[in-house]
Amino acid sequence: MVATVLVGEKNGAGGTFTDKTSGIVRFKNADNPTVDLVNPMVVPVAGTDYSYEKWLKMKIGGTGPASQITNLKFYTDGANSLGTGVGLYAKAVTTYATPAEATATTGYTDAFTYTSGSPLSLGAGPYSSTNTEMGDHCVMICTVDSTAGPGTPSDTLTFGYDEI
Amino acid sequence: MYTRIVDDDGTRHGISHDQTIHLMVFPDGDNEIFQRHAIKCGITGEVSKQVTWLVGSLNGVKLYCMEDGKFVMTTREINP
Repeated sequence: MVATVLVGEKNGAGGTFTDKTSGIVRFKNADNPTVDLVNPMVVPVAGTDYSYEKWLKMKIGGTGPASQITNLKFYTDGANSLGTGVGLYAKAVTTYATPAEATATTGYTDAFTYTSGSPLSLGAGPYSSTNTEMGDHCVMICTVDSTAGPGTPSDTLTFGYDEI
Repeated sequence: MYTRIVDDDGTRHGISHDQTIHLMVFPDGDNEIFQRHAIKCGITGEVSKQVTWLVGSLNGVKLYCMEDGKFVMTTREINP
């Protein structure tokens, strides 16, 4: 039996987990998982608009692995497809905190430097318990500079793991 | 997706559910068979999808059985 593994977004003071495995993560100027056009990021006249943090985490669902899950990681394809003036930053954090609006990229790394050949480790494991979160959070922010154009640019984030 | 079986002598099998791939790794050293998964989450408008490779490992050399019938043998760690 193959394990059910979810990638979810956590929000609010309690860190409510919303499954995004087959969904969309919408960076915005509010702390919620809703994919809509409310509280959008805006192209500033000058400077940078920072999104609220997205606290993303992997979780074993109702079906566990035959033995174990190991080697959690995050990476991208290495190419920023979000367009001119739009940035994406990531870091690994163990303990959850209520998502806040970022004010700088200090402490983060350009997410597109994490690639399949050089991923961000989110935990070595092993993990096996059902309905249990695994490893570190991948905390991400999006930035929009005054040079960005309008629209809803898209890209893909990859969460990987090994299963025995 | 794949089924993983270990024989009494330590031989490991990875068999795809459609039976088109059957990878065997003999117990001739440090050996393992596992699945390497990738969940590709869309941001904003991109559609999410999942990819799984079957990986056989013997004495540090890995054989990656990728999608579309591609196989790669290497000592490198590579990801979907």
